[in-house]
Amino acid sequence: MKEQLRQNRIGHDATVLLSSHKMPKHLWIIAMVLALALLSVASATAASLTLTFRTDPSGIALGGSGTAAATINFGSVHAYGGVVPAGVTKSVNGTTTWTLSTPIEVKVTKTGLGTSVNYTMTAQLQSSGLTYTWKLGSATLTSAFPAMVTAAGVYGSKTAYTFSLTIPFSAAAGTVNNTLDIIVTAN
Amino acid sequence: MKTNNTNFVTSNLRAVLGSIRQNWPVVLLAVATLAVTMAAARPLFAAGQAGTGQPGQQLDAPPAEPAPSLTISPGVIMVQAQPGQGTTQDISISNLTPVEFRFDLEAMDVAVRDGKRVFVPAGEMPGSIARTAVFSPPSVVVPPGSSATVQVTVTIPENPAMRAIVAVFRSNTKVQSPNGFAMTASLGALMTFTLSKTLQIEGSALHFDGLSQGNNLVVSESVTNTGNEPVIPKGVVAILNSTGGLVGKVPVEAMRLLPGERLEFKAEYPSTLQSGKYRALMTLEHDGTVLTTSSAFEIP
Repeated sequence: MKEQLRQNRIGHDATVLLSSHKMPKHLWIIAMVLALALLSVASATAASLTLTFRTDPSGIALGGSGTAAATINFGSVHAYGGVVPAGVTKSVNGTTTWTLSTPIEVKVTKTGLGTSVNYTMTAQLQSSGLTYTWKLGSATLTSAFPAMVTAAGVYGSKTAYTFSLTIPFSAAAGTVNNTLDIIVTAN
Repeated sequence: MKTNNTNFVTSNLRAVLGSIRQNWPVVLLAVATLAVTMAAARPLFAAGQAGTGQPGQQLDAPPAEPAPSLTISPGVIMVQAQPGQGTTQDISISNLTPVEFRFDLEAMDVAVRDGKRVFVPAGEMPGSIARTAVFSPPSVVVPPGSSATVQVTVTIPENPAMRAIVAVFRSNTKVQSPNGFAMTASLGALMTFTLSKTLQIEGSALHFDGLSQGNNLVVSESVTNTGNEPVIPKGVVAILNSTGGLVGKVPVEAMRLLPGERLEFKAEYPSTLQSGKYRALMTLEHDGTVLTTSSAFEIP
């Protein structure tokens, strides 16, 4: 029974610590508390990456600004005439296409990634949108594969990227829906 | 035997309570230590999420409240292994937004072309590491305020063509956008693999910006990883005067270089230099190897 009891003691680290009489009890208490403190530090400094979308001061108001899922509603817009939402620029490109553009902000922060001085951001459409030309910054977006938006994004800064949608005059009038997937990876 | 265990625990609980009564100053000190330590430690999901983003704000400063964001942890995993070996890693994603996210797990190879990284679909290149990636589970649904952990197992091929992959939580979330356009976030964890001791970097001539009185001097060097493995050089720039005396030193931030990758390592001298002739020495160190590049310059 005594042997079994000793084994049980060994099976419970805390119990073994607390039942020892070889070291003054207050030292064990300090050791326990310091161990807890060290554990809390270890979990708090786990390297991580955080992403949020924000409304740019000169851009269209994003639905869900400040979160990781945002929406842009251009409303009902025409190549000629009509109302362009605040923060959106409309430009007519000769007789072939017209473009709506607006800046959006992306903020990426890091914790505990000391050797990562910047990040890579790519973007990909969730649905095929071949009729139109979609761009984020200088990257032309498709649903086939993530396009490189930046290879050296700056952590902690709210960086504005211009999102643009170019519509050919040959396209029939209708609703344009799509979802842009923005992918961020630490460098 | 269970009874013995219960009695044992109960008796020790009494012993602990007795000890606390006898050593209350020590307990008080210990609790204070714990409180200070926990206050100093930044919370896992809140760090760097300050909503204000004011200029000059420390990048990793903890905010008053966690922003509604997505967080991946860890963001980078560095693995030392041998070809043919496998590794299993846990990657977690936390959803602090008010909407539910669905993620499909996907791996891509990180190749280097013309000195720059590119993401390549798994299996497109021979020796693809991403092709071997197995995620368990392969997709996750993360409700608001929750997190999910996925295991990724990677087996390193005999002749891998690259030394890094990204394990991406690809958002498959349908954002409610009845008449317009939606954006959704995906986050990837970079996994690098060191498979040998063939580590080497090569520098170029130093480049100087701000070579005039009153401007801050910026010293930079284009460095290429000419070895086979990832390296993370870091170092220092020393400014010497015409007699060889040390004027000042500036640290050079550590940056990860994948094989074939080329990056500008730079340091900005924080104070202005008086007119005269100087010499700059940039010393970069990685894995016990030192690369030193020196060049003279003049402030008119």
